[in-house]
Amino acid sequence: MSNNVIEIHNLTKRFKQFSLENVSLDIKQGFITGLIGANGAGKSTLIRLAMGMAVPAAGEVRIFGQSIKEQEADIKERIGFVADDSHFYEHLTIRTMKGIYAPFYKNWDETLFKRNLERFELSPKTKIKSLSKGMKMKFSLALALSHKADLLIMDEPTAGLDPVFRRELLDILADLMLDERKSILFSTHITTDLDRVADYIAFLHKGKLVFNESKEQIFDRYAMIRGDNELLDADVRKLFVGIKETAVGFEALTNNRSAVEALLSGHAHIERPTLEDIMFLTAKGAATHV
Amino acid sequence: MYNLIRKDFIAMRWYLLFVLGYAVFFGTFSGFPVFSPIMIITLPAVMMTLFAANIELRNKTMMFVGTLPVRRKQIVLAKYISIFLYLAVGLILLVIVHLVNEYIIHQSFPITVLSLIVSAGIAMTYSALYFPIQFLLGVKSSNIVSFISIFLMIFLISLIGNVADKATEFNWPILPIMIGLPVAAIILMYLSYRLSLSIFRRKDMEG
Repeated sequence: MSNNVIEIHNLTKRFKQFSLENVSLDIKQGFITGLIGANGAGKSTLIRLAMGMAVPAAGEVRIFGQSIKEQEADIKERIGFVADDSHFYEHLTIRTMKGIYAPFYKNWDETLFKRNLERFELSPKTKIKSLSKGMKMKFSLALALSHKADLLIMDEPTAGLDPVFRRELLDILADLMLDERKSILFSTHITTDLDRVADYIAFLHKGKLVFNESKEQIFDRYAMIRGDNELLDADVRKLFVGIKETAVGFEALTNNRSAVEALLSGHAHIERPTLEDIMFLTAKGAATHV
Repeated sequence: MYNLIRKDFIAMRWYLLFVLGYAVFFGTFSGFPVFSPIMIITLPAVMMTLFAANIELRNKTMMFVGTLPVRRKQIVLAKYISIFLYLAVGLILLVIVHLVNEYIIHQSFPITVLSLIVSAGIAMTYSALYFPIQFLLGVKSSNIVSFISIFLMIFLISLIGNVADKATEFNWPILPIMIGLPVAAIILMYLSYRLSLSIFRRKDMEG
């Protein structure tokens, strides 16, 4: 049996001004995968397609080995979903909204839900419309964590959260992963969140998958290079996926660290990039080298 | 599917009081002679369809429903089945109005089988025409959907109400209407359901 919890094959979705083209991506079971990309890269579209909420022009999504198109109800029973925005009934209280949500799930755990509310400091009597964006996100998370889901899919869950709760959320996710049957897919453009918890990173850029690898593989392959402009010749430039040049030197990103080290070691500073460096310079590189 | 229907009733629970107030006021104390049993059953059903749709559009609830463990077919079917429950609410209101008229304010408020069938026919026809438009135009065109729905409601109540009045006035045979109208409405609803399902299966859930 495959150890992938989500398998996406040649997924294509076209809009008037944006398209997701032939994306294939496997999400490993038992790990946290971070889906990164700039705003508009296609992260939310990919997640909606994976959830069966959007209809692809081509391709297939399988979750837990089953097609989302054919088995969407059974699959979603095992998914805890946190959206990037609240779509609950604003005029209802937390308790009433929970009363709507809970009966849909066979494994609903009321005790766990109450514990989650306490942990997130939410009162069941509060109306949803009076919650801040961060509190709505906490409520959404409390629901998603209360039906013993095997897969947690979160679309930009840290957007709108204060730094204290963002850190707490990451701890909650790390705790969840103690059960190796659980898996998490977590989209964000705040890449520092993933430095702490993610095992795998999938990077989407302009509707295309740039990579989907473990963090170790990424940092083995990618490097930031800083040096004088006189080092830049055609052979060196070919090794860069993105470059930022100024009058005093250049800053570049390579996805072929060993080749760059062979050429520039001792002449330039070669260091480990952050995920943000990779995102920024890939976007910049694509814009300048096309 | 039960949970999808239940969801709408919970979301609308305060609106049900408004519907009750409407029925009792216009059915009893207002003295509006035009407020026939047809209006007491049909308008609440139509109003509840619109309230449910409006709450859903305003809160972009389809984006929440899309994450729940339900199939698209169930989402569409739940909307059509809800119509029969809304009609049941209308029927309960009609009984309340009838009892208030007969026993408290002592005025005649006759209920006929024809009026019940016509009421159900209007509400079912309304939903059969409304839901495909809602699924087709979706959240982004919710203002157009609202406009069309009000137009549809006025058109249907006038049309079928007039036919029913004429049937009584000119002594048209009642039996074909009593059998034909519900059968036609159910066939129309079924065709509408297939159309809505076909539209919804090809569309992204919108927020």
